[in-house]
Amino acid sequence: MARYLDWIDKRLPASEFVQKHVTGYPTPKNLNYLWNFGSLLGTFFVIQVLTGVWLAMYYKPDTALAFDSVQHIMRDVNYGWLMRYLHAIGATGIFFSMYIHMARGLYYGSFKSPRELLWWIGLLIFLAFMAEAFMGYLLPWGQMSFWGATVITNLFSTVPIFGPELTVWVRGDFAIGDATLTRFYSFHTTIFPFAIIGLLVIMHLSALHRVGSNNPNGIEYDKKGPAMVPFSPYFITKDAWFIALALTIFFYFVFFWPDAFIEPVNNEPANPLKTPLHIVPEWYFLPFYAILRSIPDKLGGAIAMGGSIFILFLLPYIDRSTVKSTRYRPVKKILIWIFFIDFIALGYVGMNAPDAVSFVGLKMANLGVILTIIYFLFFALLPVLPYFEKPKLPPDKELPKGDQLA
Amino acid sequence: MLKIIFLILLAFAAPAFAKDDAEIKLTPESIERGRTLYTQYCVACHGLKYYRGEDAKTGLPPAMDPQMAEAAFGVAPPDLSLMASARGRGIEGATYIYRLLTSYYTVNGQIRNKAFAEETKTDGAIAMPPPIPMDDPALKEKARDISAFLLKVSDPSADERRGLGPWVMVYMILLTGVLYLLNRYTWREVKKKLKG
Repeated sequence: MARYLDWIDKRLPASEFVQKHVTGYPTPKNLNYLWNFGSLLGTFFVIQVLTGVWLAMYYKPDTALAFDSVQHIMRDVNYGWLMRYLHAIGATGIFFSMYIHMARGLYYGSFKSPRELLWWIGLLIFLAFMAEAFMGYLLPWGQMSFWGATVITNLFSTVPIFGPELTVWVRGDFAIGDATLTRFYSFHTTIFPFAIIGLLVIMHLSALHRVGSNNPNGIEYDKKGPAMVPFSPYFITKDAWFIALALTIFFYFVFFWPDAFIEPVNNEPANPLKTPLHIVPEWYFLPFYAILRSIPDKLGGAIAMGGSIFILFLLPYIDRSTVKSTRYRPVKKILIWIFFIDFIALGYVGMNAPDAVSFVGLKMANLGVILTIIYFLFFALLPVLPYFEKPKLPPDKELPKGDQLA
Repeated sequence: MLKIIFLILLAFAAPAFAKDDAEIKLTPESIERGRTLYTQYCVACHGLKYYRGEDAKTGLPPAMDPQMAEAAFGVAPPDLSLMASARGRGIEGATYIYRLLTSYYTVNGQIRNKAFAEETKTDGAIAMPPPIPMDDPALKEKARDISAFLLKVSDPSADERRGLGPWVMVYMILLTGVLYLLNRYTWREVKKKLKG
């Protein structure tokens, strides 16, 4: 056995790779369960790729055949329904774990030096997944597929001067049609998952293994110090059992509640002559959709929505406190919880019609404006915090000898 | 940790016991009666192109030519294969079909429908005349059976899913348990040191 491994190692750094990235990779032992969502996200991505490859064998990217081919998968293909439900609910799995993964980074300051690049690559993965999910949602060619794509591609028309031309260029036609469906299918199944997301994930992991994992204390521990354990077996088993738990919940949805995340209207074939009463995006886009609608001006709304994501890229420079973990920052702790609740509340606003009355008595449109202001106010306040916030530093016994605040 | 898992499982288990207002029962008898009733009351105009049965391997076409139907009623009668799942999740969609079939009334001799009015947020003017006469003494039973049948047609994998599902859950829970214990075993020394 060793002979064969030697033969390989002389030609490919296989053992070295495993030693560096799995068996020997030093990981802080105080990571809590919020650190499990990265590997969970990776697992869901693998599920999406595998089920997607099999769905692509039976799906037909043609406006005349697409809707029928999905029903062909659901009814005639052996376990086709399983592949489709795994894929449809898998998208929810991706975004659920991604939002928790990002919230964890936000809370424990994982975007701060030396992890800025790691954070930016992660945000690019987030954007790539948004594009991937958006394009994939057109493929079943249901009513919401068609109208959702119409609304979102319409945003390009707000670009000054060549907006209308740009919209036609993106759609490949004057309206969402066969040209749009085929190009979305092509992007959704080729460069987006494999080249863009795949490559970014490799870069994300490379950057992570260069700088090492952050931890709930936000302290840069000595890589060879007592605060570390090797990734294997400690985090192999921790990730494994947590992934099994998450997949148990995932399979509950697949087998007992598969329509939980499928909009009923999307079971009607796309009809360009009939607009659905409410056009709602998938749940994972709702907070951003609410921000888009909160600005009465179309271009302003598009800028606000873009800005709400772009501002995350600036976080390493906005949040200037030298203390990473919000655990030890009493003011940021309050603000960040307001921010998290605000984000969920924006989702609630995005789910309802703008003129509906919310449970606090305000119209959704007005509530959306307030919540959008709070969203941006959080980022506006972060740079000011270090001037008056007194961080409560962790007790000395949690700092191993020779380790200090970065 | 186990407490949290239990709470999570409990939270997701709740919707399985959702109540059903129209008392549509998805029994094989009701679905079978619904199938017969469908050929009596619906198939003249509405096809079921995705229906898979022993007698209809590639769907059930409408008896009337869709273009003629459109000329007669003003709207082409939609295919009903996915109508139940297009009008709500789970039993909701079937309940809508039941309410549609049973809530016809007239205003100045014009046909109106209450369920349709609520769904489309209009005055309820509907192109489809009552498929089952409103004074049919068995109206409710017939509507219930047809709704059950259409729900079944819209969700063909339901039986297979519910047959396989419990085994998948048992397997996953056992796997989770074993991996949880393995993880505790991995960390036993480190945890001791952390406490001590």
